[in-house]
Amino acid sequence: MFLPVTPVLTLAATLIIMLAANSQQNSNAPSTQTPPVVAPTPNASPTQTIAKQTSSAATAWKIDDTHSMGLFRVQHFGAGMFWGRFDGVTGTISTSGTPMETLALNVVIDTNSVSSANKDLDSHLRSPDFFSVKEFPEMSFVSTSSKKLEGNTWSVNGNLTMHGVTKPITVNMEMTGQSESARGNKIGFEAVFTIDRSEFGMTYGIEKNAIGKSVRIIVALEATSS
Amino acid sequence: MEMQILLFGIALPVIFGVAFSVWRVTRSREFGFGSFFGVAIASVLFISAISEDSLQNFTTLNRWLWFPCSILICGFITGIGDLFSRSFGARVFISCSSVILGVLFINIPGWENVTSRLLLGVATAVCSTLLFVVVRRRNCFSTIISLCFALIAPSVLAMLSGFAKLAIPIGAASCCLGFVSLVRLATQSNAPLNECVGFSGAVVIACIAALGAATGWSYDTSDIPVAAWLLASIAPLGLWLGELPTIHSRPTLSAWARILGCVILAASSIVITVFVLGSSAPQIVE
Repeated sequence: MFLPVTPVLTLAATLIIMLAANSQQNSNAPSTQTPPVVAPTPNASPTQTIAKQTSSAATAWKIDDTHSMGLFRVQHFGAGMFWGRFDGVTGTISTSGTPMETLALNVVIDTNSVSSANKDLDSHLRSPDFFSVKEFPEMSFVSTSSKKLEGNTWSVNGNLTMHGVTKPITVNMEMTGQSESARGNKIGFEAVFTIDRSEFGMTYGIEKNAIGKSVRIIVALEATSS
Repeated sequence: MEMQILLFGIALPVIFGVAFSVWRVTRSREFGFGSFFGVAIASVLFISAISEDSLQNFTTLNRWLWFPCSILICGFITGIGDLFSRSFGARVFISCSSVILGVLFINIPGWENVTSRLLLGVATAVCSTLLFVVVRRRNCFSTIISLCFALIAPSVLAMLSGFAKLAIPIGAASCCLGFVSLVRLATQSNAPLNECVGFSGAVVIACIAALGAATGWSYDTSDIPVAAWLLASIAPLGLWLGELPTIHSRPTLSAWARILGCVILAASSIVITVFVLGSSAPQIVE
C-alpha cells in the first residue's frame, strides 16, 4: 500500500516537536508546595512507603504579619493578670517531611509594636524600664532543633533574644491547621511558653512585687508558602 | 515605687542634710563644703540609678547608666579640681574639660556619633560655666531652692515619658537640694563662696539637668516635644533672672527673681508636655 511520504513525515515531525515541547514545559514548571501523595503500591513494603514520604524537600513559609501576633501575660501586684500584645511579628518557618517531621523557625518581633490599649502604659512598656525599644527594636526566636511529639505538636529548642540578652529556651508548638486556598497554602502554629523576664535583664517592678517575674507568652503564627 | 520614694525622696536627703548640718555646727572646714557638694550630689544620683538597674553589662545593655556614670566622673574631677585650683579661669577649664570628657563616654541611642556627643558636651560645658558664674555671685538659700525646683523638670518629664528609672535618680538629687536649702535657711549666715553648692556642685547640677534631659529625650517614645526637654535642660539657668541690672542690687527681689526664673523654666517644660500629651497630671504607670 502506497503511503504519501511527505504528509506522514510532516505529521510525525509535528508530533515529536509537540511532545518535546510538552516535556520541556513540565520540566520547567515550579514544583508544587504540597508534596505529592505517594500511594502505596501492592508490591511496595510499608517501610519503602515511609521512606518515600519522608524524603520530600523542606517547604519554606513566610509569616503573615497581619494574621500573626504575640501575646504576653504578667501578674500585677500579685493579683490580676495583665495582658499585652505585639502586632509586628515577621519571619520564616521551614517544615520538612510528609507528614511533617521537623520544624525550623526564625521569628522576629518589632518591640515598638507593643500595645496594651493604654497610651500611658504603652510609653512605659517602650521605655528602658521594660523593652527599651530605642535600644532594642527587635526581639527574636531562632530555632536550633525540633522534635515531633504526639499529634500536631513539636518541641522546638532555640535561642530567644530579648532586651539584648540571648537565652536558650524550649517551646512547645502546636500546628493549629493547614489549608490550600486561592491565597496560597497556609499553615498555622501556636506556641505557649513561660519565661523569667529577670533572666533577660528586665527587672522593673519585680522587687516590689508590682509586676510579676514570670511572663507567659503566646505566639500565634500564620504563614504562607512562598 | 514606695520604697524608692522613701529611700531616695526622704532617707538619702535627710542623711545628706544631717551631714551638712554636722559640718556647719562643727565648722571643721579645712576644705570648703563646695568641693564635696558636687561629689555628694553625684553619688546620690549614682546610687539611686544603680539601685534601679544593674551596673553589670551597662556598656551594652543598660546604656542609660552612662548618664549617672558621667555625672560621677564630672563630680569627682571638679571636686578634686576645686581643692587645688583657686583662679576662676582654672576652674572653668577644669569644669569644661571634665564635662566634655564625661559626655564623651555617654553612649545612648541617638548619641552614638562622637561629633554629636562632642557638641552635647560643649553645650553642657557652656551651661555649667554659666551656672557656676551665677552661683558664685550669690550662694544662698534662694540659689539652692531654685536649683531644687529646676531639677524637678527633667525628673517629671522622664516620668511622663514612662522612664521611671531615670526620673527617680534626678528626683533624689532634687530632694537633696531641697533638704539642704532648708538646713541653710535654718542656719542663716553669710557663708563664704566655697561653702554649699560651690564650683563642683554647680557643674554637677548643670550636668544633671542637661544630660538628664538629653538621656530622657533619647529614650522617649511618647510625643514630648523637644522644646520641653530643652527648657528642662536649661532650667537651672533661670537663676540669671536675679542678675538683671535693675534687680541684682536688691537682695530680696533678686532672691525671688532667682526662684521665679527657675520655676518658670521648669514649669513651662512640664506644662508644654502635659498639654501635648493630654495628661492631667504626672503619673507613674506600673
